[in-house]
Amino acid sequence: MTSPASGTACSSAISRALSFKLVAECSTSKARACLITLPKCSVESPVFMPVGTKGTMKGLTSKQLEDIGFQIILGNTYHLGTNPGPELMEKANGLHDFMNWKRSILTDSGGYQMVSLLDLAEITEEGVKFASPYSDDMLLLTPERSIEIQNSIGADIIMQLDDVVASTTEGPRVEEAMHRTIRWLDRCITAHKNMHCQNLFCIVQGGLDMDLRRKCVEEIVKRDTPGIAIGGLSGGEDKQVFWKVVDLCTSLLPKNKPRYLMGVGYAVDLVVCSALGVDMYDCVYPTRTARFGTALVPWGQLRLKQSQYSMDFDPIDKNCPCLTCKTYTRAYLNSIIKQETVACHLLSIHNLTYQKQLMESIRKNIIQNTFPQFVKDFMKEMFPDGNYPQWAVDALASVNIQL
Amino acid sequence: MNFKVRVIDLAGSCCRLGALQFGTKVVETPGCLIYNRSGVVPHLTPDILETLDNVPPIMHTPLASIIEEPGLIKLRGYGKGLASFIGYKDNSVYISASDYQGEAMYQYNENKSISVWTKTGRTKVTPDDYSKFVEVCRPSWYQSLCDTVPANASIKRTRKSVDRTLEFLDQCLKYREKHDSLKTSELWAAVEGGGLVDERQRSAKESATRPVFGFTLEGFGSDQMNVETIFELLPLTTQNLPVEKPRLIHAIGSPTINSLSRSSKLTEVEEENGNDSSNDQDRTATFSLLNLREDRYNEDFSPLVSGCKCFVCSNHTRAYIHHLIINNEMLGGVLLMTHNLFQYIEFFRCIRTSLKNNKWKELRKLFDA
Repeated sequence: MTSPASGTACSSAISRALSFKLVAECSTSKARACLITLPKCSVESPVFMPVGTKGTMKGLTSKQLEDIGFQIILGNTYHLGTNPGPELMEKANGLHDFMNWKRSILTDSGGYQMVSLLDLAEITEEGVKFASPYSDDMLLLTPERSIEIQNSIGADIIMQLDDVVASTTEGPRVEEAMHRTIRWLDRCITAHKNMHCQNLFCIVQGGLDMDLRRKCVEEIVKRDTPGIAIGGLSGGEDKQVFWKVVDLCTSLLPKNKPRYLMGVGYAVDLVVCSALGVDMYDCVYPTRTARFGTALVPWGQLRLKQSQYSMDFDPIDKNCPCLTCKTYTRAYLNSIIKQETVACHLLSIHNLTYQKQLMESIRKNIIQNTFPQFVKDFMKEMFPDGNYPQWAVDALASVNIQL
Repeated sequence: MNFKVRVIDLAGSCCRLGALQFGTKVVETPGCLIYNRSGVVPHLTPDILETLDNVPPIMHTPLASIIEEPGLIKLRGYGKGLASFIGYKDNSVYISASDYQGEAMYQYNENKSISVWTKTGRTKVTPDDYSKFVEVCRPSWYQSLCDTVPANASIKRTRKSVDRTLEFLDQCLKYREKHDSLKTSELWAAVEGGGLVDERQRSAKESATRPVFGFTLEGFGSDQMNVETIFELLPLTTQNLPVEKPRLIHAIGSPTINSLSRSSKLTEVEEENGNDSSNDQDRTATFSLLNLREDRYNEDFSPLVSGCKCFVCSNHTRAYIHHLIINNEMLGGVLLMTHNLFQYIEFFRCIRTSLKNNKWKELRKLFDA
């Protein structure tokens, strides 16, 4: 991230880079189904966005992601900005062409990786200062630079640089970060060159403090960005506080804009947060857990490395329509899992299909106004003994779904 | 299952065009088999493999890759054979006794058993152990157990290799005779002889007297024998084999058009594997190699081979693959393997077409250029 980039040209200039349609609202909870039309693709929400860190989804081709049905994926600005770098991104006419993905992309701001991956990150008003992992240089990621790189990557949705603090942080640092996030938003808006073909989303910060969250929402809503993200969660905080922050934010945010809850991807969280009115999610979990040999199923997880599967000749999930379940048994996957990378690919295909199917079910049930029953059935299958996590019970009760 | 072959005399080179038929499926020869480990073509999920046209309907699985995992107990419990277990349901498998991916560990072979090397070490396999394992795998073809030695093995050791391999063959035949379940699995005799003409000929002649479906030519792998010796020994071996039976050679590294025409009898089935080259981040392009790690591909937005019809060249650029490779992204291996296999399959199709159309010399010129 050393030299400037002027921004990837947009192929089709449209007057607005995002159009938002509220398709259906659940009559019981705050859940909603929307149609978010982006420059490259229309996205049906609630939607889970898988994370393709370096312009690839861990061994899967763009075609395979398209076959699973994803309409939008996520790329990481920190990684893409470092390698291949913004100059190459521009020469390649952006990430879509570079990886041959014809549908939509969202890029993060790069700030989160610096704070989470780098020991030596230092945050000042100017930006995030960090030691290059590739040289002895100290580099600075400013809001302007983040937007410049994201302009060169050319994603349909780009994110403002925010001041990220661990969700368990307390005290004045949280408030400082919230205010700085708003100041940085203004700088990002000024720096953004591709308003007509890239949508800049702002981020609600404020830690676990309800007042700070309220203040932050009040300020950023004034900026009228095409979409709004809820940040600073999913960092190991108490789930009882987590859902209350989500619930507060969705209640305060305007109805006519997409709401993106960053870093959330466990099945139960997706169902509960959709009930609270969230539209978009991203998480590395389905593909990361696949690489450790874990398959996601409606009743939890199968750790396929375990010897109990060595003579199990059923598919991972007999109701799953994915390539892996149609072709292989648990016993076969168990036999190749420790030695063949193909096992990772096969489990990634299954887990991503699981996520996609789950989101489709959520959406379908919202549209048919059967969402509360769907939630109850989903929870019953996930926790057959009825031993539901209390936070989920409370969160769902707050939107009139009684387990 | 049957084999039809036509010998074509081309200016002193007796090339062979053939077809191995099973049911409605055909393996045309000369052709290549695709290699798998534990039922997996390295890097490739089945949907990606399906993007390749003309994949031979029989997959080569070396014993060493399956003897431990899935192993006998799991496969017996499954009960529907290896092809079905590895998700290759419409097609079939060929099981070979040796895996040339590894270093030749022939000195550990004994009179009654060979040593198969797996991740956890050494497993001794007798002809009966092997036959029992093959029985639960239900392959369409399998190779007889063999004690393969490299070209530089001593005369005494090479002789022993031929003797043992013939003895193993007889025991495999005896087991097959007694077990009806193996009747649908055709046995190929391994022909040995290391670097010695006499032993090559003895092994070929003796094997030819046995009731086998075809012959595998052992010890010609690139790490076992140099090219000159291959050219010398291959014709002297094949001239002792019956014309009407198919021949398979394992572990020939790169597409060597010269070896095909210089041998007086062309082999039907070449065993190729794109795995090595994709691991080395190389690829074949009109039979040259590109190392995609090199910086010069950084901004190269052209396909690996312009005009190549494979899935990779239709969808991705050298720059993208270079990016994947230098970042150790798993997709790099997937794309290179896919392209390399496409090239190999296409290579053999060109050979067959040129033989059919009497254009062999023209094809050779193209490759020599």
